[in-house]
Amino acid sequence: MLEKIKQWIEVRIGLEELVNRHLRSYRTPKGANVFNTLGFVALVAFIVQVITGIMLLLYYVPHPDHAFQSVQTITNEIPYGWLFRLIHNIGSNIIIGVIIIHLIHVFLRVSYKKPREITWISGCLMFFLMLLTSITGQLLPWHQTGFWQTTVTSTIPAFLPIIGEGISSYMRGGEFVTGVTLSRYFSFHVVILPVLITALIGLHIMLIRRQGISTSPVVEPQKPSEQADTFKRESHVEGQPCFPHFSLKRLFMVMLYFSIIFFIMTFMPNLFLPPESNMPANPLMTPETIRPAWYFLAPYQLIKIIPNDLLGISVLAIFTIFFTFWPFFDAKEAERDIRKRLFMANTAVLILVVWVVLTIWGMYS
Amino acid sequence: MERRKLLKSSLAFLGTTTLISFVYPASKFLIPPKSNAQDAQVTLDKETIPPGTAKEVTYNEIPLIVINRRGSGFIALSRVCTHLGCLVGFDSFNNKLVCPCHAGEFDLDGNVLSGPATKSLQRYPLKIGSKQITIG
Amino acid sequence: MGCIDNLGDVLMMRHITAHLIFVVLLLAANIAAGGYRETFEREFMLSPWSIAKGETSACIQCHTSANMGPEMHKITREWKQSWHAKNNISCHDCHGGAPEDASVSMMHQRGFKGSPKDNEVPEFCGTCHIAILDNYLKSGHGKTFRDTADGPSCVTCHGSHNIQQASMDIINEQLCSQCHTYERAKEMKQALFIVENKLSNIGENLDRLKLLGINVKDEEQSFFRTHAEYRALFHSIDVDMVRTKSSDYTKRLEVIEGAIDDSYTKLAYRRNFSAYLFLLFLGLGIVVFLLSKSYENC
Repeated sequence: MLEKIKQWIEVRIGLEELVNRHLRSYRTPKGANVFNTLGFVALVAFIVQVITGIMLLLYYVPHPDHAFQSVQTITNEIPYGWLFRLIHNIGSNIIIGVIIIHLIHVFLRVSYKKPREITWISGCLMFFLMLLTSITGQLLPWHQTGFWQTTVTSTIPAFLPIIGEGISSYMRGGEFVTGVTLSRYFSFHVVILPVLITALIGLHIMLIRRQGISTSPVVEPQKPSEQADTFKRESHVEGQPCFPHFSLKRLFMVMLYFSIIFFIMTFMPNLFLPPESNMPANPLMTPETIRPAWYFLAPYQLIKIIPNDLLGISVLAIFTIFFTFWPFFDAKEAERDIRKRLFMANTAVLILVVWVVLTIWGMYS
Repeated sequence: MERRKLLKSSLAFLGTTTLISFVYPASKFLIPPKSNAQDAQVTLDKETIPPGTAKEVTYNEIPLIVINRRGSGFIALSRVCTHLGCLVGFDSFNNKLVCPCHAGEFDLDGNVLSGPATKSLQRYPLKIGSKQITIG
Repeated sequence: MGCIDNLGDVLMMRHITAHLIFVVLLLAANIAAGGYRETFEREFMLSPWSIAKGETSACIQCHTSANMGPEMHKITREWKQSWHAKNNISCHDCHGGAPEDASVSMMHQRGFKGSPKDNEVPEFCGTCHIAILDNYLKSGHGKTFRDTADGPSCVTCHGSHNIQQASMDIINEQLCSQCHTYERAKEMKQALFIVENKLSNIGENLDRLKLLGINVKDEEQSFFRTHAEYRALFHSIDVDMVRTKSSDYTKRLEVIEGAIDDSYTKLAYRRNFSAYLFLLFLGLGIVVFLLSKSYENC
């Protein structure tokens, strides 16, 4: 029976050849480990967010008078509404974690060098769009947490000279966070940002498949003179076939991702839902502590520490630009083996540690 | 090979179970919620509420008050004060609804006149017949 | 066929760990020196959204200033700790007047009432607490107060500015034996006991459920109205009536308790279902891992 179906499809699209070319003969580099699968895991996580988001969209009402109640209805009255809401909520935090680890891995593997600069930039852009998606999503349930976090986040750009006020006003749709802000954030969160992210995903994957996955500089050391000036696809003749070897690694990491989500859902379902997220937004009453989401604690703490607001934001802005365009700032002829570039490795680790410390500090201050 | 076969069939089994474990909740999620309108209608005789008076009834376990307003006709309002939930009472002398807990005052359309409440009282649709009034 | 080559990864991890330890020690010293919070709060937090934090009431501004004597400061200090303050009930809500404009804040035309005289206290508090005033005036306490100008008024038991949430502890020997023996008060306290217990239990549970994300709005409203009616009933100081009506109140509260139990059952179901999904994925992960290992040739 299965054979008959396969044959039917085979005649129409040449399934056999497709499977061979893209799954069996497609090889992954030597030494491909679980960290290499993180890009795929991020993609799966994104799809999960989209699917659960669409389900929530069926019952959510994007108006200040009804938003909070509609989310309460989803969580408490619609059968299994709680399940999809919590997957969306917990998943939105896990996906950021996955992207960050993926980013660190790619950086330490020095995979951003020629010819992969655009891949890196599109990846960074996706990361920032993802963070924007999280910011816009926070306002939608119209609870105290989201409302006040939005108030704070939309005021940060105002510290930039000249254009700052304009940006803040544009984000908020006015001087204060109102129903206009909600409509704006809703359209960004549901349509504009997902479309942009999907387009970037397409670009990112297309580039990877066209150029071939980068080799590990540790397992297969490359001499700098081998970096060609013509297009050359890495075919990894000695690598593992994607299917089933690498696919199984990918599948394993996806299972791990889901396990983490459901572990959190079972034992600490309110990890990302502080008490204020169960109170409807009240523009007249600020909660005792307004704290941004964990992934923003480090920049938030940094701005808090630096006495001059403009300087603080400039530091962040400069760091972001350096980071995104790093392939162009990096030494052109440098080795891809990070063990031979201790200065860069140390600086990267230092920045990472500072980020972690700032995050923890931000949590407790 | 035996081991691999066993693992493959476990994977298929677990995979199918997982798929069903999501399809089932998703399908229940997608079924449109039953409207909460119970079929219990509440009917009152018009004569029991002369103009300028009101009557307290319960509809779907919600305490309502049906007022025969002089000049504006009948109205059915929820008695649950929008401040903290106490039940408002009818002040026929001053033509308003007053909450005994924190002196919240509402007019006979349910709008807030004074006090700590910010939202108006919930209004319920009425069908007015020749001799009777029906809520719901 | 490719095998997983761990050597590169292992060396990298060792390198990173060593640096982590060094850097953390270095930073710890610097963290201790951070003292920029005041600057941040001054510049970043005092903005349109901190309406609640800034002191905008003219009443409070004057009555906490150095111009005023210690009695005034005591009053504002006591009010700040009160249940009224926690619910944003401020000076003008009881005393009238205009809190936004110091120049007219205490004018008669703006509704300023001043402090009530002793015999005006029940009506003063009863401006808002209507039902309680009704019952109080019909009670032994109220009648004594009106007829003899001697007897308990609101402030006798509740204080005037440091008003806390009412509880059974207000009924105590020291307070109630000022005019008569404690026996009667003790009887009343016993009559109140069961319902009061249920009330505090339900209150705690509703708070907990709310934090866990359950929508308890209807139950909260029903709880509040039952609670308020019961307290109003108490002010009639009629032990027999309290005893007879206690069963009604108990029944009403039991309905709410039923809803609370249902909510806990719901939460338990959610946890079980999530645990089931977690175990499913854990199992899948193990199977996939083993399957993946079976393809490795080293």
